[in-house]
Amino acid sequence: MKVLGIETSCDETSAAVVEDGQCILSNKIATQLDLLSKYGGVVPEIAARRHVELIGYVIESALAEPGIGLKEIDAVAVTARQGLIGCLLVGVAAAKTLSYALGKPLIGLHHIEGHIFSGMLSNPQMGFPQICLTVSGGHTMLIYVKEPLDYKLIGTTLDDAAGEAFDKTAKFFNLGFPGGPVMDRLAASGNPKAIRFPRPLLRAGNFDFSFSGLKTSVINMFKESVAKGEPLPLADIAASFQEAIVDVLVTKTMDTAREYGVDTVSVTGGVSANSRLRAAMTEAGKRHGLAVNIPALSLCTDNAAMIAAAGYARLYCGETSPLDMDVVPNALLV
Amino acid sequence: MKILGLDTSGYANALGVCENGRVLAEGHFPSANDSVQKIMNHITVVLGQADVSISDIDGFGVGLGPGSWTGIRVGVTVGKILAFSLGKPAAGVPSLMAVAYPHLSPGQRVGAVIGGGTGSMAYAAVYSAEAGLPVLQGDYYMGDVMELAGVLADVETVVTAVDVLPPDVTAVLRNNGRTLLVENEAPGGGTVALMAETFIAGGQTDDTMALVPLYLKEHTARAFQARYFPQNLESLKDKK
Repeated sequence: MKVLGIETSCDETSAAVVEDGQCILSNKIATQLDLLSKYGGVVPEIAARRHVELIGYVIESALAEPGIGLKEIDAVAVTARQGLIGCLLVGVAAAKTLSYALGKPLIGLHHIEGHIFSGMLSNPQMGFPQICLTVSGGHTMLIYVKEPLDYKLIGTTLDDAAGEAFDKTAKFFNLGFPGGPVMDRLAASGNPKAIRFPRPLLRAGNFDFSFSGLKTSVINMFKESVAKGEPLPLADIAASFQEAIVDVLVTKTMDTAREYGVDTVSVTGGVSANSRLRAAMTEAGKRHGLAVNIPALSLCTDNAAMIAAAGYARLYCGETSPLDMDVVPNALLV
Repeated sequence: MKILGLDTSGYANALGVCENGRVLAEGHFPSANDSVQKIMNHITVVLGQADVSISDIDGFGVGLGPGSWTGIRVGVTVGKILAFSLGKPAAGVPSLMAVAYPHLSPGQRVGAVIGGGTGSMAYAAVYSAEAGLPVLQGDYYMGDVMELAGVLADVETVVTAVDVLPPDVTAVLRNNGRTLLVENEAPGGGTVALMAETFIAGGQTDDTMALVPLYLKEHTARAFQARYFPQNLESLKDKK
């Protein structure tokens, strides 16, 4: 069964064809980085306008690349919940139209459910129950995944998402947008122990996150160092800041895994592309005897393959969405 | 040739089906923020009234705006993906042109006005008929409604979609002998279908995938840049 997935919840216009929820036949992603870097971030109206320009081409090429005709598509899956409303609307309008015109079922999904499935797409042998840390520029969540489609939200960020902290800090240092990859590269030549930045909520006894204060702390420390005439080296700041975030993410994920007695941990979302997070999580997994599953880089950031995979699972359970489905920008996962 | 026309730039999902210059069915479904929710149902209703199925449709007319930014995005996306999924041609129809079209006659100039949604903003354009087709005279207007008396000084007829002209402006236009019409259900889906049929029959088919809304107004972020960071705008130009 071939599912066409569509994802337009934020700044990536993506379409993909996935067979039987597992085999990625195509996964086309058009990013808007050229525009976003100019404005220093995602501007909802710009992103929505770009989606309308690109959506047709992206769907067309997702079908053309593996040489699949529209008639071979068995269902259309789309991100309908959580995201920027104007952006979600474009993908949902396209998906509904395809479903209507082709007479094939429509499945509307929560964006985070897609990220959870990106782990399964990379490693079908992944065990359950598991703890899934999904971390990006828009969210930071710890989710207990009892089995596919059965979730419990354990912790979330109280303010900035981890990726947002990267972006905003990078913006302060004029490093461009998105900040994550830039900080990651810069950190490679810095000393992660040079500056001891705070580890917010590390020992708070809960599973929530907070990264807003960390960002402020970095900015304040830098300003103080400049005032003293001894500006901190940027590479050291990047390495130490990254280390603080990674430390919190890894520790809380391992704590949650222990608390819930699971053997498997997966890390998904845009920040899971961060090289230090990947290394530290893998290493911590070995220490704690846990299997750590991190998707291939192409599946970390927003993409439609993960939406198609999640859509297949929902469809397999007999779930479909009506053609009058609405978009819900701030929907909860469960 | 059977054409389905749709326009979601205004306060409604406007849909219509035409065949060989005759409107078979038309629907004007008021919509608040539920355009995307209801549009598939509205399409089904209008096709049912016309007694045709979606696979009978030979081409699509897509209302491009200006109007509600969110609204147009829904209509343009639905229109282009319908044409793509069914392998049929599509023609974009500027909504101001669809407002003016039913009132055009040879030698007459028609001014079309669409409310800008916020404050006293309005979109306007002047059309004249050339070989039965509306031709835009000059540029689109986007600005204060109070300026419209000047913008529309040379036209015989002014058509507004929803009554947006303030009394001061209508008084000036009336005193100058202009005919003022308020078409609460314009742009109509039937008109969009008829115009698209003419375009498609004349070979003026658009590249379906390239169809984009006619926003006219810059998004706020760009306007903000223009005001506070004009130097950044230069570098944005080449990125479109």
